[in-house]
Amino acid sequence: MSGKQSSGEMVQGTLDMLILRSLITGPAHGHTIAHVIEHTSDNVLEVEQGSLYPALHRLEHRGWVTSYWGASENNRKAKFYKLTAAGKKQLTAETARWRSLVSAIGRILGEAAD
Amino acid sequence: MNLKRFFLRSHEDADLKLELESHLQHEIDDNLARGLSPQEARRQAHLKLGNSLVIRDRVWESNRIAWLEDLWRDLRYAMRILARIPSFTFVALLVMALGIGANTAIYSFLDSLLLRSLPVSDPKSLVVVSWHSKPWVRGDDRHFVMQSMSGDVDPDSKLGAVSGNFPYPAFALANDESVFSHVFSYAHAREVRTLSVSIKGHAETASGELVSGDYFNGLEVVPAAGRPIVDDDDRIGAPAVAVLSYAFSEAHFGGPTNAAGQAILINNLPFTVVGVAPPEFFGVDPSMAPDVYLPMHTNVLLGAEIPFGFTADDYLDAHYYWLEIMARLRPGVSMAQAEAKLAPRFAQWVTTTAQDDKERANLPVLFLREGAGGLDTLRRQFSKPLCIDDPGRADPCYCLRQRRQPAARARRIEKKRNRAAPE
Repeated sequence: MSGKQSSGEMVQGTLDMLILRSLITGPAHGHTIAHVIEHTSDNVLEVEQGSLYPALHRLEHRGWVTSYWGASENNRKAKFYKLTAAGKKQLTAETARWRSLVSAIGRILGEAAD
Repeated sequence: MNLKRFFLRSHEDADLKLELESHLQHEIDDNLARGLSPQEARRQAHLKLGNSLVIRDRVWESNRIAWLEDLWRDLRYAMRILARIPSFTFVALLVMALGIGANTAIYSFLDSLLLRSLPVSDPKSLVVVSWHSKPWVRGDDRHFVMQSMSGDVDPDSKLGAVSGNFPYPAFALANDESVFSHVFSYAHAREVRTLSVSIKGHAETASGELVSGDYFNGLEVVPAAGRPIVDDDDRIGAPAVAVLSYAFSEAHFGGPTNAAGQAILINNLPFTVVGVAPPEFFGVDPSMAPDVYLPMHTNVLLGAEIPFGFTADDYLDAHYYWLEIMARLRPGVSMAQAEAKLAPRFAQWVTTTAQDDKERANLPVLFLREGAGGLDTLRRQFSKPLCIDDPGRADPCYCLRQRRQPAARARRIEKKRNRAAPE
């Protein structure tokens, strides 16, 4: 498991941002979202269901995503999540915040390394 | 927690359960696609997903936390906004404080008025002597044995007009030892309503009450210090004494023991404080709560100081209705029995005070009322308009009319100045 970071250890709020990001291409159900995050991160990030679903419900509660039941690509019943306008705004804000945070930390670490 | 989840959020939870099952199926599909055997595909999917019940719990938990977080956010937002508009905040807080305060005040007021008994021993055996007559109508050219009064006549839906004020001779009449163990009277007379009390050179305003010699004994009120007013104090020429309320003694003497025995001036007349009433005692009328209790006959002393004041002759006046009478029933004697004993005697006496046939046609009729709640000026004034606890009242408009038509109250007559000219 070394080298993998489980969602339980992620910086707080990061999972929310990643979920929102994964929905930018269109509605998806929980399994796809987890799959996309894991794949896009080259399996560095592992999304536990125990974190994913509370996060999805939290995002829905805040109005950043909406959900509906539909048929999946495997022709199974699945609950799909769709990004809302507020969710898009939130994603933009979170991404900007994250970028500035990373660059700030990067600067510090960079200076320390020098 | 689990119970709550299943009962309150069963629908949402069922939804989540389906969602997790769907996730599991997709995971199995993936595993099958990777070429695993069906059993292995299932096993690995279950392993990866973990316990679905635990996940459902976590979702519910996080929802709850989200709710708390939202509440906290809302509260902080509200505080920020309030801090930004201090004038609005001030007004809002003031309105709320006043509202809460007013409610508390009203409830404690009604509590003492309607619910609590007099703070005396065995209040249930106390009765208030009263009379009723035909209704009083404003502007009516009345012929009535009562020619002047210091007190109130109240309209009553059943009895017509009701009052608790009597002339002094009627007080002696009510003193029947066969039915009452004590008969006492008090008066909130003009002479004592506002007193100037001088304590060691400091003048204070105080409200007073005249009480007969058996007042404290009859109520079985034990003084906090000193002695009560007794029969010996209540006669013309007796040394002038006074009993203070507990609160008054604390405010001006630093406590009841310091007050007892002190010399004071009341309306510039020398009095001796002989005792202090217990802290819970407010007199027999919750609306009055006098500061100073004085023997009934000091009325003559104090009356001599003011124009048209009370004189010794007024004790004999059968047409001046001013004092209120309370009595304690002997054990085993009912209020009805006492009334049956007293009413005819009063009727006989009051007939002799009538001056013509018109007066004889409408004589006051004596009756007894329960005295447990105290003599009830305020109760009469407030409890009827409020219509509390009287579902059996036949006339629903009665309360309103009572409030709008203080006809009899307007007849409140002050002493002889206003006395009707003799026929």
